[in-house]
Amino acid sequence: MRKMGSVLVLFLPMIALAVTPDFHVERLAVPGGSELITVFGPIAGAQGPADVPLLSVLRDDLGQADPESSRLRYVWVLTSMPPGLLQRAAGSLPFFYWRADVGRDPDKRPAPVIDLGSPARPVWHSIAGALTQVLALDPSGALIRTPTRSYRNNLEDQRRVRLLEGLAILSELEDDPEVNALLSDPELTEIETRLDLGAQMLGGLLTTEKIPSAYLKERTRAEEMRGHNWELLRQRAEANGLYFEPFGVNGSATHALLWIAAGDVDSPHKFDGQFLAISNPYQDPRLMNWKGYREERQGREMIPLALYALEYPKVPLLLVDFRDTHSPKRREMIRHAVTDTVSGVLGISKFGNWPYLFGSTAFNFVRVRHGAANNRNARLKAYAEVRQWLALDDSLPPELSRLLQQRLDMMGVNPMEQSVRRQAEVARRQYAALVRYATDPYGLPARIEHDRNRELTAYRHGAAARFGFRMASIATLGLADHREKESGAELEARLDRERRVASQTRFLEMVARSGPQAEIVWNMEEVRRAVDEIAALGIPRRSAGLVARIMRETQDEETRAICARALESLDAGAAGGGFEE
Amino acid sequence: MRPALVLVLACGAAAQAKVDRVVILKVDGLPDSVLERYLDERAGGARQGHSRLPWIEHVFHDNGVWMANFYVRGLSLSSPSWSLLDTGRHLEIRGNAEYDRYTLRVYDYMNFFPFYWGYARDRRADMPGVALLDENHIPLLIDHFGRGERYQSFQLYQRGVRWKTLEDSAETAFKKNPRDLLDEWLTGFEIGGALGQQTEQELIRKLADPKVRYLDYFTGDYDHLAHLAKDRLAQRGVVERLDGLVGRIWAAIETSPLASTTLLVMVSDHGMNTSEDTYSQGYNLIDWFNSAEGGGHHVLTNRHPLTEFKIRGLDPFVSEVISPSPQSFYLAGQAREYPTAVMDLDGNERASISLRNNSLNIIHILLDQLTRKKPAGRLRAAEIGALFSTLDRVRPQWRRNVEELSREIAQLRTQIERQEALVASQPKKFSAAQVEAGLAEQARRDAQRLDQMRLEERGYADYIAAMRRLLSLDPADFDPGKFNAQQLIPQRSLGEANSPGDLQRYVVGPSEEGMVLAADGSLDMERSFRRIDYFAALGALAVRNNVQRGVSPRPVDFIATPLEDAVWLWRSPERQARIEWRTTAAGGTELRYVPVAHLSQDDSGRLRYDRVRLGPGFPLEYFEDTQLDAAPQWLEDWHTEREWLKAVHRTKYSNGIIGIVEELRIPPVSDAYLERKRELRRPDFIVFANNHWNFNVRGFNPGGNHGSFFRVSTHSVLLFAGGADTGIPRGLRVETPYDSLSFMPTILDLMGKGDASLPGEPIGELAGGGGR
Repeated sequence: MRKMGSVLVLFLPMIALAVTPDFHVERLAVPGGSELITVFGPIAGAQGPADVPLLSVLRDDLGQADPESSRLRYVWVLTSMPPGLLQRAAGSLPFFYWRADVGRDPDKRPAPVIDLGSPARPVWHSIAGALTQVLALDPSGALIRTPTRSYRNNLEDQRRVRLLEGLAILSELEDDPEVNALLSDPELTEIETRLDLGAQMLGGLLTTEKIPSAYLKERTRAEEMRGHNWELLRQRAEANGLYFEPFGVNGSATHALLWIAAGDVDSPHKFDGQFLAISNPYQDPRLMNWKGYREERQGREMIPLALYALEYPKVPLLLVDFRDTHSPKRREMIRHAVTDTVSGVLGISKFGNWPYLFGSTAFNFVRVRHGAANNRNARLKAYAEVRQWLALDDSLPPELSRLLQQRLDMMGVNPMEQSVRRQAEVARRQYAALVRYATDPYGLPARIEHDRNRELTAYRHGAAARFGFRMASIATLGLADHREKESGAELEARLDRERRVASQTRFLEMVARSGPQAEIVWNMEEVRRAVDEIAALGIPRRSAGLVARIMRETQDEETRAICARALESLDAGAAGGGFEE
Repeated sequence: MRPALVLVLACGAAAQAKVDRVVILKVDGLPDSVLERYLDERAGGARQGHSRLPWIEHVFHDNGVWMANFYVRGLSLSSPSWSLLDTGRHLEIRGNAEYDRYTLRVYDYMNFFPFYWGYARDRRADMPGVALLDENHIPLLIDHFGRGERYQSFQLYQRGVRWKTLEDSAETAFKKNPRDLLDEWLTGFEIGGALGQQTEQELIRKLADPKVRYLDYFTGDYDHLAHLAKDRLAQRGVVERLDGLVGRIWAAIETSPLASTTLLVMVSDHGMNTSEDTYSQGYNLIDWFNSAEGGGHHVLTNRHPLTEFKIRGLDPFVSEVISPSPQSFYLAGQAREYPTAVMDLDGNERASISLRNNSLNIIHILLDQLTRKKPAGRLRAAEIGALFSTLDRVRPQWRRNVEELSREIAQLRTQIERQEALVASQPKKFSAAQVEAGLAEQARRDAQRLDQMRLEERGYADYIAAMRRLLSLDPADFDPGKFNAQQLIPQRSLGEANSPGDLQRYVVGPSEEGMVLAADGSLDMERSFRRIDYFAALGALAVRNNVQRGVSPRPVDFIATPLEDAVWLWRSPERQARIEWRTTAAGGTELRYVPVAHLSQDDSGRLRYDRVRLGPGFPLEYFEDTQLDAAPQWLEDWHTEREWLKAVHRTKYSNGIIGIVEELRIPPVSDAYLERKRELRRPDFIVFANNHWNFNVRGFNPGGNHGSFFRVSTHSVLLFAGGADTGIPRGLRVETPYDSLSFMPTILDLMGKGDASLPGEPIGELAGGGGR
């Protein structure tokens, strides 16, 4: 920037690499009227067939191809697995920050990362676990508190990483026509948002109606972070005489590498490391005698310095430091060790200790204000994203890609994690196990039947009744598990009706909420169809207000007539005592 | 139908047309191209066949008037742009922040915290921009309506604060069912959203009151988001929310008592240079001016660079930040006393920059040499000689200015005494009726004015005193041992404005070899000082990290500098232009574009340049622009502003030729003191950024920016729709270009409140209503 005369000679155009991996989607019918949709894509450096199964989604459509009566249920991220027994044991060892990639069986039936039909369940589990920890385990002394906290933290981190890996895969599918043909925009939005929220403590509690706005907010936030960090890193590279190279899939830059020209290394350039988190590369003996990876660009030897994640709040997150391989891991270990010492060994909790709460909040505020990477969730997300990016992006030189994967593998501090190098093999075997499970009449089909029964219970019974059923089931160790009497075709028919009513009611709520004169915003044929269908299915009392409101506000005569007819059917039903609650 | 009949029918309709009320949706930074893009985009699913912006389509496109070519005049920047729309007058406010050269007083128009704080303490009545306009006797559009007739939302040119709205918006934010609160907590609260909701509710309630004739709703959501995120879906989401607002307000108007005579207007102050596939790249001019290459200046701005990474950045009252230079050549450690560069970087596609007077620098350096280094013999004599020859050269003009200012300050003292008496006569407490009548607010306004006058008096008096000390130096009894530079050089002052010649040979410090004697024993002025040609230096800036296709590695596009009767545009030594203006006998303005090269100015102030043949690559690029609606040779002739607008508005730089003159020309006013203050706020030069470059240093604006004359930044939104009796045409798209000055006269004419003194042309296609 300073030596204007030589700038144009130095100018090195490094245009952001924007690759679009080739994905394809396969559909597998599951007995009982569901389908398993699996996304396949290339994994960089994978042995065997080019396409690797990455992620599967179960759509329960009751055997019909009608979006109004279908529901998305489970999502499996096939490239990773839950921890095995030995890993769980390792995860409970305090201050053990190394990956223990042992004791897993990829041929074992894969566990879904999320149940979209019941996204709140993990939240209650998590709250119950936290309460047990605080009320029962923490008071039992450091010997109990420390391993149990380590175990829970590692398990929770591992669950989040798996959710976020799924999210990283899905975010690359958004504009893929083949994927869009099988998973509609609203479905993709739902899966992405649920995976993202699933990684937050209470995220599963978000109401379904708020998913589109939650998606938009998160998308906006992510875009703001990426742009902000892209600019910050570019400007810092410029100010320090380094070279900035952004990367990303589908045209959005999610990661960036910083390079230094080998010829510049021994120059006495000024260096300001703020936000870069790396040491001064100028006159660094390690670089002056560099034997590691280098590339030639426009006749200049370039040495990679660091890899950053751009999707991190406020500052780019250092993921790989080529000169100091262990530096990012060391920082992560220190952060974990501090947490484990304070909350595990010393048993100090923010919520029981106001001075600590105040002190740590103030300290963290100041550190974050100055650009420290203090957000554990965001770090996990960046870590999950970079793993997926490296796995799916084959545009990087293979040697560089291998090096980065190797460095990232070293970064793992969670004993329950799995190595990124086995992803392709794990995915194929997990998918094979999933297919076996899906085609086994006592496997997935039975589980779906069970889920449908539960779903019908939810439609029929209020929250209090359902809570009672659940308590009864827990108290009797499952002996008094409530089940609706319908099964098979009868269950499907009842559920089909309930789902249609729920879907149309949701739609009419959206229409009513959207403001006056629905005909200006909505396709009124759709509105009339929804009112008609809801009337034909037996209009529930809760929908009557909606229909009345739409009738009041629309100036479309045909719609008003249909609404009036629907409301008359409600009156008739009420008189005969025949309408549905 | 015969034209005569059409005219008769139109006149008949116009005669009956009546607008009793106007509702204005003010949307900050929304470009017309973005609105039209989403208007044309069809939604899917259950909204199949409908526009993404169904209400805007219904209200304005199908049943109103769409001004397809409405432009901001001047810089595409919020403070000046809204001032044009809100006053209908030529620019008084030329940046988001302005600095008085003599005192470095910051006019920080965007900082609302001091205003709210002052209002709470009864010391402020209006936002800073409004106070300045009041001082210049320039009324706002809302001033054409009585206090009980208007409802103004929270905005830049705001009179008073409705605490109740703020209180209620806090309630709106949190008084929700727990389910909704939890959802919001999980996805992130939107603090501004509650104020918007509250304003909307109040506006809709006010529509039921037939006494209320003026209502507005301001939103900065699009501008805010587009600066940060270029994502299409994110931006579309904000515009769709705006569309919903149009629907709710239109529906409320339709059921209001004045429905048939209500006019709904949507207007934006400027556009936004945002592109889905390109990040806007920042270049830090503060760092550059701090550096040795940039002159080692201590730089004054109105906000902290990288605010988000500083604890001090949390200070909401900050209006002055000095970034000291670690490489200053003669003012090391004196950043507080001697900031030598001031910048307004807001909007970000341009930077308005003023530097300390070049001669003052030379005098300061020489005094510093004489008083600190204490040279002896010939060098001492040479330095004293150079000091006084420099001083003698500027003394007549500086002395004249100081004496004139001194007389103006004496008059200001009289005004202050009158104002003190007025403020003292105000009651300490006001009854509810007096508050309702606006007396309490007027009392605050008087107090605010008094504060400002005292501040000015103090600042200018200090400047005058320091300058008198300096100007009274006499070589006959000058003893450097008796002085130090700080006593003689006014602190926190830039002194007089720099000429183009000053900026071409700007002295930033003593030369590396120090003071050098010429053969004749005098000081060699060329070799003794380190000089920078700021045009060449800024134009040569380039970066190595330029990773986006189609973005130039050079951040600077061109530089504009005011001349006496023209604006000089510098793009390279060979590609320059003079934008000349003249006033016609009828009082109108005519402009012409004169291509020149190698413009320079000698010490006597004489300008020299080569008149050259126009070709591609000259500033504003009209010659090569295929959208120019004229032959290239037409550019060099005199034309009215209207003719220029028609010819250039579709080009890449749109109405830049009109805008740059509006920005840098200071028309004479009858009040010499006001005219002086205007001139003191004018920057030495404005640096315009290349496409997809910006000069933001407060943070990062990768999503998009504005401030330049690029059409995408100047092309704004103006839409009208009216009730049955307003006479507003339905489904009309107006291709004729208009600019910001047409907005207010059009509204006033439609409402029968026409003001013949307004300089702008009302929009003919809407004419009716009465008035002029």
